[in-house]
Amino acid sequence: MGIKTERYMPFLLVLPALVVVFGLTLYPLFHALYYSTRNTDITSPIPDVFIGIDNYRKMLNYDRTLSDACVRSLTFTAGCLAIQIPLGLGVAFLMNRPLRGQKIFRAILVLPLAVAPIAIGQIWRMMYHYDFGIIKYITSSVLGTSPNWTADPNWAMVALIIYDTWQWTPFVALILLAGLQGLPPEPYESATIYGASALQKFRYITLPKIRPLIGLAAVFRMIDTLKTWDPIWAITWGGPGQATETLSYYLYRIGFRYFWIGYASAVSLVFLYVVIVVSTVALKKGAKL
Amino acid sequence: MEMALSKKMMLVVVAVIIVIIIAAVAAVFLYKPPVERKVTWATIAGFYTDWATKISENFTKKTGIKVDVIGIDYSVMYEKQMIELAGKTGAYDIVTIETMCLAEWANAGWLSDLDSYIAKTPEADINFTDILPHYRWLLRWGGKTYGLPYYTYDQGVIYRADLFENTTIKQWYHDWATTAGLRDSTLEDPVNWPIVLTELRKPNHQMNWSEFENIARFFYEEKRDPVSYGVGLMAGPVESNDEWMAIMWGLGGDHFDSNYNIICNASQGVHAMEIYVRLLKYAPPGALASSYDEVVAQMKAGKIPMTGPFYLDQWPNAVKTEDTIPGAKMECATPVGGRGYIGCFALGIDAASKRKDDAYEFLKWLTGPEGQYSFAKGGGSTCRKSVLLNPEFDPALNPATRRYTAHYKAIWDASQLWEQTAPAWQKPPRVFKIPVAGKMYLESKIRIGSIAAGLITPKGGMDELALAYATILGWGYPVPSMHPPAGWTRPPED
Repeated sequence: MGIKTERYMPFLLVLPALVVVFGLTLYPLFHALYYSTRNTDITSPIPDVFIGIDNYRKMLNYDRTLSDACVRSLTFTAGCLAIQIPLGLGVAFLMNRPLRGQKIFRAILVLPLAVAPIAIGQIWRMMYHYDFGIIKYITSSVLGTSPNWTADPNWAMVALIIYDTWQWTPFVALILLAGLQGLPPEPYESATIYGASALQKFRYITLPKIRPLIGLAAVFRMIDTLKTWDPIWAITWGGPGQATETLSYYLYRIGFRYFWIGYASAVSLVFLYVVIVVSTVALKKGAKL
Repeated sequence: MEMALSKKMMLVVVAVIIVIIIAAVAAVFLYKPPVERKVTWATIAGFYTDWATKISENFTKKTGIKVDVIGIDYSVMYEKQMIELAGKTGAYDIVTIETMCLAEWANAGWLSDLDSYIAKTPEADINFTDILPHYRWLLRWGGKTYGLPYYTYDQGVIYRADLFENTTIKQWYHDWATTAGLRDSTLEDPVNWPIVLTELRKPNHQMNWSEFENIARFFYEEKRDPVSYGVGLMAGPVESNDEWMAIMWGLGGDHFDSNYNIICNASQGVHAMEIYVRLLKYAPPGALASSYDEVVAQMKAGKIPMTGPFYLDQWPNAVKTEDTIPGAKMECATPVGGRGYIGCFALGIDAASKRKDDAYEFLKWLTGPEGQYSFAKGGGSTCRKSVLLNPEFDPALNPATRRYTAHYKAIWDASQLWEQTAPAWQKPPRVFKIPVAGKMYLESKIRIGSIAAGLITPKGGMDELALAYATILGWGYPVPSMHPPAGWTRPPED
């Protein structure tokens, strides 16, 4: 191999990857940036024009729907994380014990991860229905009363969090299980000799050891819940009213129902930057733990 | 000797190969296979697609044009079609248009004008005046026709006639309605027709909303009757706005007045929403998450005696209540208050289509007298007078057809109500003419949903809706006006 070939070979080898990254990531990103400075509405026959930062100004100053959607996104994310992380940890502990039928249990546990949210969301919509749904039947049988899950604005978000928890807690559990299975036995043996209780072992040995993995699972789930769209579309359509219209659903509405491509690009770019900043900070914090 | 033979053999083999190659090359360059005539049609997956695929085979046999039916789930059909239309890909030669979107698509230049095709079509094939009159208004924009209708979902009311004919229940109603304090005195204010408060009458266009509300309340409160609730409503996030519009139009209101001022938050719009919210009290609790499928399910489960403003095309499903509830007898009628939501699925031709002539052939056939007749035979809700009034589909003359076509008369009568009673400027209502009507329609779903869920008052919600309309129209920024600003291009009259 000549010196020249040797010099250019690495570049040639990474060229396909660069083309893919540029074509699928950077080009759309710059395109979105371009559209965010225009008043593009693809249903309008009037050609779009450059409007500078007007879309951003509108977003920050006048769009109350957007700020409401942001609050709902944060509520959804916080609700999901608050339930899924402890629950996932509990399930991971259960799966880490030598139990009979553990393989079957694990297979069943990952089933929700294997189904498409858009399809299973339709089933959940029917299960939540007050007049025919099995969830209402169960809650009424157990508690004597049932919320009107998807029709009550106070409960619709809870219904979505429950659905998300059903689908994604196994994911958290699998990450944490990997962590638990990698823990060395020695610290536990020493702790047993010194008379530590199970709670003390968890508090002072297990938790510090798996904390980075908890952080990682939380970051993954946070990014995912912030951009959740499909189950919302399938279960509540953002309703009742706008009670479950999160930021991603609002983006879908203005981008693909109203086709305000200029404004939707501006909102999506800000959304993207916020997710990047928050996840970077969270990952760094998680790594330090 | 052997060598010589094998040389000869080789020469023969080579010669044969050369001949084969020359023949193949000649075949490729000289032979022109017959051009396949094919069109693609984007339509709604499910019943519509099954039927369309079956019926289009007849068309292919007749014309040689193959129809590629692309079934798309209704909930995403508009996004998918609009992306292809805006991209000018010509992926779908024939598109399915909802009446609220026609102005937007025509204004954007996405649809082909059909007038020149219609002009060239023999009258017997198209029979344009046979199409229900309100669709002829709805599918024109700027003086041109952009779509031909093939499936109507105009509204009326579907009810359990056995309950309304039951003498015991009628007596209970009389007793209930004549008991002081049971009736709300504010309901006695007649709007269009004299209110009848003491006699249980079957709902139809001669009943105003106050009387309807009273009946719903009776069935809800009178626990001796066999149903648990008073009315079935589609108050979920998808169709509640169609129900509100029906009530509002019945009260004489509209989204815009004749000069395009926004009036959805005027008294009729707000009053319609107040009626709707009151009716919700008498509907099953799941109403706020219900669509037409759930209302039919409530009917089949024996929970409700009647629907609110309801799509008449659902009759073939609703009539199955007779199979699930012993003694049930289903009927349907013109909309309460005299107005229902008017709408249809129409077919148009993508302006970017490369097979417009063939596309029109199919469109003409499917929406024409022959195609619509076939459609009716398959249980479809046709948009043609000659089919709606065909004695073959009249249950009185042909009882075998009742389960599929008993709603035809109500569709025809409802159409006549619009034709005969609406002022000229409201044919169609202004909103259908505005190129951003599709967006306003979506916005109204959100606001009506918020009011129905109790998140905002009817007046507050209607004011928000009016503001949202003005924002979508771009009437002033950042504070929009309810009146068309100077320089706003008024949609073309037709």
